[in-house]
Amino acid sequence: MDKKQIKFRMPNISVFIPYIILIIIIFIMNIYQPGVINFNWLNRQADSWITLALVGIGQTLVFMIGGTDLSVGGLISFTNCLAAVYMPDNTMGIIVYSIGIVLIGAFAGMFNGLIIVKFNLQPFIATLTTWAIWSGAALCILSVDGGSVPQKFTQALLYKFGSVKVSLILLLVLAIIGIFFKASKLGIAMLAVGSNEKGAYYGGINVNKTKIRIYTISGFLAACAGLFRTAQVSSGSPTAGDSFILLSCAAAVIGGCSVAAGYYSFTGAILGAVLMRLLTGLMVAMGVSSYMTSLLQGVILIISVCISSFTEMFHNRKKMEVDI
Amino acid sequence: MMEKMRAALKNNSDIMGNYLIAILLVIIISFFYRGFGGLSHISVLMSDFAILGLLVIGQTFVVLTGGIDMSVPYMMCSSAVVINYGVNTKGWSVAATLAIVFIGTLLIGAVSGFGIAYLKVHPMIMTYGMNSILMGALLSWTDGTAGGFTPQVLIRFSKAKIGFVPVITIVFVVGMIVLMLILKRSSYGKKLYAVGNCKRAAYFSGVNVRITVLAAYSISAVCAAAGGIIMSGRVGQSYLGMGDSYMFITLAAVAIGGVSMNGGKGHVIGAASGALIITIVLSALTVLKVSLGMQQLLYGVVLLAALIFESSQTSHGHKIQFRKKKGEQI
Repeated sequence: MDKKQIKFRMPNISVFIPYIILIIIIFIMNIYQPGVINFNWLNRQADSWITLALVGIGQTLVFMIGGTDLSVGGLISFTNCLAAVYMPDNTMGIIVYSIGIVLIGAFAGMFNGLIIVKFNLQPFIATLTTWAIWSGAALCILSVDGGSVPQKFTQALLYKFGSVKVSLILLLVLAIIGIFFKASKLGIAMLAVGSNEKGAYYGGINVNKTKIRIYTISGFLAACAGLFRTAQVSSGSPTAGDSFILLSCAAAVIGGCSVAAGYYSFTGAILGAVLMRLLTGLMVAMGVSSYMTSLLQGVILIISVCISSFTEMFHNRKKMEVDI
Repeated sequence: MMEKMRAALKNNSDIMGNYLIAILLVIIISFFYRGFGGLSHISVLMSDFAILGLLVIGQTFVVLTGGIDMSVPYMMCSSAVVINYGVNTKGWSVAATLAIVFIGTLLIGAVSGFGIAYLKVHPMIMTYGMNSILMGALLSWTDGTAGGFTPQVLIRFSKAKIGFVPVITIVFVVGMIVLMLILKRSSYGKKLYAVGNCKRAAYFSGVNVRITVLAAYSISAVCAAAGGIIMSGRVGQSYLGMGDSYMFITLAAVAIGGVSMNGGKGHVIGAASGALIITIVLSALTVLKVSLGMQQLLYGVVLLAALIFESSQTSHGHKIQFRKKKGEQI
C-alpha cells in the first residue's frame, strides 16, 4: 500500500457529514429567511433539540455496541403519560416523581440489556418486544391525548438562567460529558465490544456488563427525553414516542457514528438531532407539504445509512473480506 | 411414504400442537360465550385468519433470511388506498388498478430488498424508513384523504362464502400450499434456507445471496398488498393507519409459529398456525373487552416469551457455547 492510499483513507467522510449539512442548511435558511438565525432563535429551538438529542445520544451508544434500541419510542410514550397523569402538584412530589420516572427508564434499559445478553436475542427483535410492552402500558395509562402537568414542573425544565435556557445549557453539558465519556472505562470497553466481541472478551473486558450498562444509559436518556417532552407540551400522548424511533436512528447515523470505523461523538449525535429538527423546520419554511415530511425523513435516513455502510464496505475490501 | 409422513409429523409436533391449542381455545371459550363457537362466528374468524395469514406468510419469507419487514403497515394501507382512490377519484378500472398495485408493491419490495442486500442497510432501518416513505408518498398523493369506499367487485369477493367457508380463506389456504411447495420443493426455497442459516456458507456454495434476499422482500410486499386489499374489501372502505397494529402482530405470529428470528428455521404452515392462534386470542380479547393498550402489551409479552423459549431450545448452538465459556462473569 503506497502513501497516497493511506492519505486518502485517513479522514473518514462520515465524520464530517453533520458539519457539512449544517453549513448548507444554515446557508439555505439565511436565503429564505434572512437574519433569522440569532441567539434568541437558538434559545427557542434548543427546547425541540434537547429531546431528540438525548435519545440520539442513547441510540448512538447502542449502535456502537452493534445493537439497536427500538424501545426508546415506547419508553418516551410511557414516561410522558406517567408524568402527565400521576405527577402531583407540589415541589417534593415533582422531584420524587421525576427521579422515579428516570429510574424506571434506567431499569427498562437494563431489562433490555439483560434479555439481550442472557438469552442471546437479536437486539432489534428484543427491543421491538419491549417497545410493544411500553407503548401498550402507555395506552393503558392514557388511552387518548390528555392529562395535565403541574405548572412548577414545566417552569423548572423551561427555566431561563438570565437569557439562556436550561435545554441549551444541557446540550453544551452533554457535549462536554461526551469528551469525558470517550476517555472513560465504559467508553473504551464499548468501542472494544463494538468492533470485536470475542477480542474484547479475551482482552479482559466484561462484554455482558458493558452491553447492559450501555442499554441502561439508553433507557435513562429516553426517560429524560420523555420528561422534557412532557414539560414542553404539558400534556401526555400515548403515541408521543413513536416518531422518535426513526428520528433517533437518523440522528445517530447522520451524527457520523460507525462501528466499522470505531468513531462516534456526542457532539455528532447532538448535531444529527439538530439537523433532523432543522430539516423539518426548513421544509415548512420552503412550503413543502407537511405530508412530505415523513417521506423525506425516510429518504434522508436511508441515504445517510447507505453512506455509512459504504464506509464499511470499503473497510471490508481492505481486509479482503467478501461482500455478501 | 408413511414413514416420511410420520417423520414430518414428529418434526413438526409444536406446530400440530399449535393447531390443537387453537381448536381447544375455540371450544373452551365457546363454553363461556355461546356465540363464540357458532358457525357464523367461525366464518368471521376464518376470514380474519385469511387476512392475518396472508401478511404472516409474507413476513415468514423475510424472517427466514434473518431479516424483518416493518413496512407491512403502510404497504397494506397504501395498496388499499391506491385502489380505492384510483377507482373512485381518478376513475381507473379495477383490473388496471389491481395490476398497478401488485406491480408497484413488487417493485417497492424489491427496492427495500436492494437496499438491504446490495447497499447493506440494516433490514429494520430500511423497511421502517420505507414505511415512512410510503406514508409520506400516500398522504401527498391523496392530499390526506383516505380513499373512500372499496369497489363493489372487491367487496363481493371478500365477503363471498361457499357454505360457511369464506372464499378468501380458500384462496389463502391454496396460496399457503403453493408457497409451502416453493419453500420445500423449489431451488429458491433451498437457497432461502441456506442464506438464512449462514450467508457466508451459502455464498461459498454458489448461492446468489443478494437476489435471494431481494426476492424475499418482494414476496413479503406482495403478500402485504393482498392482505391490505382483502381487508379493505371486508371493511368496505380504506382508512389511514389501517395496518398500524399489524407490525407487532405479524412478528408475534411468526415467532409463535416456530420460525426462528435468526433465520433458516421454520416454514409457512407453522407461521400460519401462529396466525390462527393470534386471530382466536384477538377475537377472545375483543369479546372480553380488553383495551387496546393491554392487547399491545400482551403482544409484546407473548413475542418475548416465544423468543426466550426459542433461545432456550437452541442452546446447543455455537453462539451460546461462546457465551457459556465466559458465563461465570455475568
